Amino acid sequence: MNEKDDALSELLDLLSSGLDMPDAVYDQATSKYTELSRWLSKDHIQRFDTDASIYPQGSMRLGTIVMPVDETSGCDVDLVYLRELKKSSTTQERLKAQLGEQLRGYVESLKGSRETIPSLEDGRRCWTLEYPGAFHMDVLPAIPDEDGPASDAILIPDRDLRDWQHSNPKGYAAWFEEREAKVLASRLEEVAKAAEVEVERIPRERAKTPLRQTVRLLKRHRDLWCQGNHEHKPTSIIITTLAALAYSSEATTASALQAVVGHMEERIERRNGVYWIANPANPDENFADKWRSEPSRGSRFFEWLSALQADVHEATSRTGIHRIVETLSTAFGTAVSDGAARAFGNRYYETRTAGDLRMQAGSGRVGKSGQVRVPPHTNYGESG
Amino acid sequence: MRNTFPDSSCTFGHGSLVWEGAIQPTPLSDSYRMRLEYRHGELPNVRIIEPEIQSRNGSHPEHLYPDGSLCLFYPRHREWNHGMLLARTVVPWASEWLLHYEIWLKTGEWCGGGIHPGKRKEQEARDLASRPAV
Repeated sequence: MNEKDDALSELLDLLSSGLDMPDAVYDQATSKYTELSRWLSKDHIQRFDTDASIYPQGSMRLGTIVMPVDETSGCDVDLVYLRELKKSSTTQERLKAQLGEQLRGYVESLKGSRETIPSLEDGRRCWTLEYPGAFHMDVLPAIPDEDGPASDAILIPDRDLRDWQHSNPKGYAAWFEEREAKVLASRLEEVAKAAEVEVERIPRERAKTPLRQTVRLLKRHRDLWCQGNHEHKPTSIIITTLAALAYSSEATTASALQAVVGHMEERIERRNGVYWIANPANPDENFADKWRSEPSRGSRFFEWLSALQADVHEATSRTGIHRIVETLSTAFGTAVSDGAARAFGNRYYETRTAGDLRMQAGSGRVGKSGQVRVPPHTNYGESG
Repeated sequence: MRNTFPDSSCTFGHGSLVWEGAIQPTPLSDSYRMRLEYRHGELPNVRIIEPEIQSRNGSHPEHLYPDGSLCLFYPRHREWNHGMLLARTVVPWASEWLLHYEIWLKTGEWCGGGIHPGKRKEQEARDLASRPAV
């Protein structure tokens, strides 16, 4: 790859990593989720004498979490609570209500302890444990979909719909990972090598691959673009699916972003005149199904995509770090873009103070390679 | 200088050297035309000719002398001496200055370190501590 792509990728990686859940919050969320998982399994055996399992789904599983624009509102951590039950032996209402009872018991069990006590909220499909200011855990009750298209397919209740809804978060995540398999494997190896641990010990969802960084940037762009008008906001599942389809193993974030933004639209099918974005884990399901009854959803998606394309084009074609970061601020937010620019500058400063900064003859470019080693020096003087 | 920057120009006269060349600090940065004047026995003077150095909300960039030349080293540290090659010292320092200048222009923060008169002692101690052992 060329040097401009590398430098832009470095800046975009800093930006996108700044949109991810911070390590401390991630550690807290995984510890809460592990604790909840243990409690629920034990309680489930006592209550029902059968097995249940809990696993992350959505962006938590894919490694594409993005902090909300208003950071005080906390991230979504989506979990599936899978009970080994047959469809004929329960109902949607009962499955949901039983999880509610269990979760009330869990919250009750925390009282008197030093643990943070989350509040419990009832949603359309799931229960939400709210940890104020940090994250909210959506726990979705589910049963195996025995007639489903794949072994990991599940059925989930929906308060507003008569029929069980089909889903397959594990199958979807496996498909997503397959789309970036090569790049992910090499990134995990790099991270493991740097941390001097075995590859297996690196949480897969924490690796910052070009595809995941790109999805994060796209979702943040969507969130900002929809601020003030949330109606028919393009959905994360559509954005993530089209991005993964348009991605073709680009090794850097800048090249992945440009490829994805340039080819996403081509991946939307038309089947008998109907927009079709197939669920890779269930080809009969159309993620764009609602575009048929509400065409404004589709037009809003295309409007957003045009805005994204224009911003990415501008960010990749301008020169001057200040101008590029100005465009990134408009596209992804000022705080996170300025933060990335400062981190970018700090890296050069640290390289210089470590005595490793070099300059290329001819262009005068500074960095870690070049014929001229930059000797230590101290900028001196007032600011105006 | 001409060895390191083949496209640059160098003129000599009256005991002084004037060098003009283009540098681009990073592949994302603008390309800047700079002019370096060095008179024997004096400190080198570096200016950016094009594009002109801008101010930000009425403030000038940090580490700029009142005459518009760049402050690239702290004389008391003896970071620069007359035996040093300009192409290997002052030019890369100017390139680095420009990198931090563009970041400052957008964010208002100078990430390149340095000393401000007034905060000198504190910063001096920190900079000395972070300098590699010679």
